[in-house]
Amino acid sequence: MTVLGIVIGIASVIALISLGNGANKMISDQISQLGTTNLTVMPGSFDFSGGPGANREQPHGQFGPGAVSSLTMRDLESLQDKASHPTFDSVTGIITTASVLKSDTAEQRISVNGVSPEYFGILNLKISFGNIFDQSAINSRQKVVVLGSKAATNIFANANPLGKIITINQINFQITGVLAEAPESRFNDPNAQIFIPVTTASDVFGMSNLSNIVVKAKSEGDIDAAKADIKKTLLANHGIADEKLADFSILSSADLLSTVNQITGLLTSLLAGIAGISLVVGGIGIMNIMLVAVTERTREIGLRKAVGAKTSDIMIQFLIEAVLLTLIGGIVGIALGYGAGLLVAKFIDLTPVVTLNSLLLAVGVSSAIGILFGIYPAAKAAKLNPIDALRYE
Amino acid sequence: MQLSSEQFEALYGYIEAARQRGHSDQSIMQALKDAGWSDTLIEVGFEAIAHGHSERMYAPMPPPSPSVLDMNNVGKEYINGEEKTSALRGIDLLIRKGDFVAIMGPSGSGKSTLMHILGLLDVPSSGSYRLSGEEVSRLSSSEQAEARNHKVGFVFQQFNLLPRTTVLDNVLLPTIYNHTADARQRAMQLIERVGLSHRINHKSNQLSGGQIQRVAIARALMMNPDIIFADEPTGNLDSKTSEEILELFKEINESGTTIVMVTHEEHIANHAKRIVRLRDGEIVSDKRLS
Repeated sequence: MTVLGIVIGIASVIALISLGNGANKMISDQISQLGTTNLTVMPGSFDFSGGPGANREQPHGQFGPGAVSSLTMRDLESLQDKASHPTFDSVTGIITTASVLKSDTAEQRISVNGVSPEYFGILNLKISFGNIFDQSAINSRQKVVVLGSKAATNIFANANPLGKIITINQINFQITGVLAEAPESRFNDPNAQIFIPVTTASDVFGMSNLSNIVVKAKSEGDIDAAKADIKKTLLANHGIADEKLADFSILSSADLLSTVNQITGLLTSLLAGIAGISLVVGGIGIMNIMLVAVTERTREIGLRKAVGAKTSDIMIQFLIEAVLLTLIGGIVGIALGYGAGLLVAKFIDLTPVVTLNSLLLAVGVSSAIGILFGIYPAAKAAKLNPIDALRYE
Repeated sequence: MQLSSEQFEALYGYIEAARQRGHSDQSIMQALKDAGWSDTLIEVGFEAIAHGHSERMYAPMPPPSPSVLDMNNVGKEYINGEEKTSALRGIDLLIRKGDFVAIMGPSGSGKSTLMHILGLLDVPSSGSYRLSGEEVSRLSSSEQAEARNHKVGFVFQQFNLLPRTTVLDNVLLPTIYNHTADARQRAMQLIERVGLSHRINHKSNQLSGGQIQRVAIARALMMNPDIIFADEPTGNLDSKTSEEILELFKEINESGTTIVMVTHEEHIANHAKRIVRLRDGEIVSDKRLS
């Protein structure tokens, strides 16, 4: 069954494309979860949207030991002035670090986020019980802490943590709230983190500057304007005239998404291309099968010509037969590929996504292979001389 | 004594026929005298004929049937490198509608070549070939295919049918290349005519040799061709089945279809109305069987 080559080829292409699509979708969904209108400002200059930039620093706001962030409290205050930034919905500054947390019963290293109150709204983190600290806590640099849901259960099990004291970096903090369970992403698990006022974080950890700033734009249409606005403000604050020398980067979900699309797209195409090799093998098999068929049906072709079939009639007949063969192989391949994708998904946490495009691609490619590899045998059949063909033993 | 008009007609007819056979007037007169005819009557007979009374007496000759197939000085040559071999030379052949012609000849006589040219499977190197009044000797291969489809029907010695295909679909084969209205109906009528209605949905590999030839005949008639070419149609059949098939050919011929049959067997050829013999690429005899 040389149609098997076509089946396997199409099956692998479909499986790979659907898994690739699935991976893409999964990552895209998680990026969307971060907020499609959110713009993340990071220190350091590198370009997510086009590829690796000149200055490679670590992504996601954790910059290398000893390096000082270029984002200051002053930057945060400039951006928080709602009057001069009409496209902004809300702004938060973040200091991210890790520290040792001690309670009566446990001691662990944990991720600490110093944030302003808008943070919870921008990242859609809801309170389960207690309160989120407000602006006055920021202003007075209170030592209060909000726990993520997993962090709370890790330290206190089922007991109510409200009002209890824990030490962070050897300083006492009072727990004022526990967050409800939030969706985690590969990038970030807020449930295992704790949150303190950004000013307090600055004091406690001796970090005067921010790890990053997140600006939520009013709508998707405002994203570009907001981005430009942030750039202008920060360039002014930092005293930098040339945009290319900016010491910060602004990242929108769209930028991340396009990078993800590029990467998954490239990977998928590469793998699918390799799978395509088996399609070529399949095509050669089809050609051979058709050549044998033409030889076996020589007398039949002679008869058809005697009865009035023109050269073009015979050519079309055999081409159609070849395309039908490959189309059937393609359809079986699509079904098989979809099944294979589902099977793989059980082992990797991934849902395969079969799009109309990939189906059309599979059908198109199968037909093309049929036509391409069927032309030679069809031409041979069509050119047979009826007299010789009728006499063929 | 008065003779009845029938008697006179008999007299004139006798004299005319005898003259055609080459007998002299003297011998005719003598024969009549011996038969008891009086001199006067004999004289009257000859005079009447001399005055052209013969027109009255014979039924008018039917006008000759239109010619279906008209070959004029047809030749076929093959070039093998430097050498030129001539397979056919100076072929003149006129076949009228309704005729049943057998073409005979030993192997190498050119009868296959002639058959191929007649059936529009090949073109002559020289000469003219008109089929139903249309010159077909210089057609392109796709024009030939079209002409084969509706002017000509073939019955081959073997492998007449598409394998693994039903009787009905086999008879309908020519319609694939030239869609005709009511094709199915016509096909079913033809299948009935050749006596195979009870097998209409059987596949070709389920049929006997004779049945296969019948289906081939039905298919050959499908597009209502001007002429049917049969190439050793009974070559693979036993004598009883051969007879049946030849009877079928005769029936079809009686109802007006022109048939040209190639055979190398004398007793098969004798079922036809006319035998054309080939030798070394030329027609050496062309006789009507009485």
